[in-house]
Amino acid sequence: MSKALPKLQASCSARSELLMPLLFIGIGGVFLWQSQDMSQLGAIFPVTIAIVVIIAGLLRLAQLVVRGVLSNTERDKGSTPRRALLVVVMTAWALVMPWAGFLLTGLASFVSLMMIAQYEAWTPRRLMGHLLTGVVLVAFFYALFALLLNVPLPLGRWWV
Amino acid sequence: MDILSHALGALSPLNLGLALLGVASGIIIGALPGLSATMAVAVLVPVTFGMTPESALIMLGAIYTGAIYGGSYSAILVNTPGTPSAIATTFDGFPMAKRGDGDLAVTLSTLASVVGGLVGVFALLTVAPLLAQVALSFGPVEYFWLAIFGLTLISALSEGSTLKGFMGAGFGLLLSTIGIAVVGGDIRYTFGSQVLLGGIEIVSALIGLYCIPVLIDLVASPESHLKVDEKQRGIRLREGLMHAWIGKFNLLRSATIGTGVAILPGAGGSIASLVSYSEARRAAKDSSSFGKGNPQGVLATEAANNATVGGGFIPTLVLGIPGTPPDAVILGALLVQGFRTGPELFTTNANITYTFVGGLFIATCLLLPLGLLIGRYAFKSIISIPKALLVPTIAFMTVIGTYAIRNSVSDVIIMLTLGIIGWVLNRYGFKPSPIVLGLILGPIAEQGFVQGFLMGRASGSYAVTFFGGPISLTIIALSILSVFYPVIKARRAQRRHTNDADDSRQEVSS
Repeated sequence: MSKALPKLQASCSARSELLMPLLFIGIGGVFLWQSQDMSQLGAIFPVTIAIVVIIAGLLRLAQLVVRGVLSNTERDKGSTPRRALLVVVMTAWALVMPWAGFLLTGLASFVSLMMIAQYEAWTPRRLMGHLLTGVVLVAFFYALFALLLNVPLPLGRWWV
Repeated sequence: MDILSHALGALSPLNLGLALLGVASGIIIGALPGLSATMAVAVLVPVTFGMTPESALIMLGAIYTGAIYGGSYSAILVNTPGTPSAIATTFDGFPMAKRGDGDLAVTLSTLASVVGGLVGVFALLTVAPLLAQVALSFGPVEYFWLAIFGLTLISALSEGSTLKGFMGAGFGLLLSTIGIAVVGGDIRYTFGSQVLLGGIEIVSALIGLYCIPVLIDLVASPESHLKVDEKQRGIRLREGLMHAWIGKFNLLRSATIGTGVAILPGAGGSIASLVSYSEARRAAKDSSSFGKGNPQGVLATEAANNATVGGGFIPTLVLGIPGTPPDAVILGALLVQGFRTGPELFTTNANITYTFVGGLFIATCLLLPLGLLIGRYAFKSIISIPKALLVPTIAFMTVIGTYAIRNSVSDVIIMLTLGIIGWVLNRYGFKPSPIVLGLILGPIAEQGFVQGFLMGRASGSYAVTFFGGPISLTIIALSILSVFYPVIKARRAQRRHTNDADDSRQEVSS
């Protein structure tokens, strides 16, 4: 008699492992649906790939259902608020940059991210040292890109 | 004799100085995420306009060599390929750095880059015209199969589930179709957004998918970014040389693959390094350790991507068809200098061509001391910078680097969005590499597929078009081997293990 196959180990929770193939099937479905209005030449490649993604998703679902899945209890944990703050700061940086200019948003984001990444208590000396390094680094990269490499970095709407 | 005397022309103090300057600036530019080798060469082309043609070419070649190598620093130390050709370096380079072997990984990358670079230059010197003719026999269908061959690497890249790898690669391929279609010009999947109209730029996607998840996880805990050894071990050259000696066949094979892929116009260093990584993994006895910090992985990818420098010049100089994107820029510079590419570059203008090849050889040799020196400082600074400065510095480099690619805030938004998606997918077991692979190979695969489809329709047989040529069949056979070899190998090992167990049982019973 053949031995039963062991259960599959989920990367996160067992439920999420089942939901992810559904997400990919959904993405494949959206790409298929959107290709309706395209020319044959434009649609043939994405349609083929979308079908492959849907098939791979269905096969994965079948594999999970047949073999069963175990939740991963040892997945790494960390500070979710800090992660979320980093994403918020970087998103705000990208969105505000055309209006406030690269230099200003760059400096503000540098300081904000510095605060988010710092776990130990701030001493005046450490704070000053980090702030000074930040200003020097931002100035260096700004000079490298804007002056030496002639990249037209956004100046901000109020400057113009 | 003439060739030698022309090549020795590269040894003039001015040319040596330019090669040194070019390599150093190339390394620094290449190490910055977002600044690719193409950009490094493009930005510095105007500087060479006032120079003699030999000096200009030597400097451009040196910048290119340095930039391709420099991309490995950020790949190893911050898991962000400085140039697309360093993607595969992250697979084993970053795990090595995480466990405290970042210095060794940088040394290995330097040694491999020098070997790869020299093999490429040697090929350029000896077999350029012959190899260039081979490149011409590659049509759209062959390119399509080449891209598919690159995609078979997914089976090597997906840890845990190959199906997850296929879903990830499919997602990457679908992302590559966003924007204006490569054939036909349809506007696809932009959902009415201006941001998506230009498509997803590969370098910004690379930065987002590899670097943003690292940043998100960096701030989540107070632990240091890389493991730091109590004992500082310098550049670990002896250890590096030992690994290089053990992997000598791997190095030569990868360098040969790199040269071969670079001869194919437009294929580039990223495909070369991915294919050689796949081959190194396939040929290795302990293939399961690849992706977990195997030094041979770093050797394979870095030897291949630096071999593309010399290899890429073969079609550029002989046929006037750029082998890699930076070659296209250098081709432009050549035309500005008043030179026409073609056979006369090896006859009438042989003095310039062979001096340039000599310069490229010198630039590759200069990689060793300069690379080890700069690499040591790069490693030291990454491990000694406090997290509160490292996080904003990397974030700053990602944003400015992404913006600089097309001077577009849209690219920054796409980079961030892909970074967040990449982090979420990574958490649920979908690694970024198959997605990136899909994104890079998507346009090549689509162009070949659609053109092949049109050729098949015109000739009346899709089967003959796609499966009729000897080159196509060879690539298809290699792709099948690449997918199934790990399975066959595992079966064989299992059978051997069972046989050994049976033998020992019989010995005990007798």
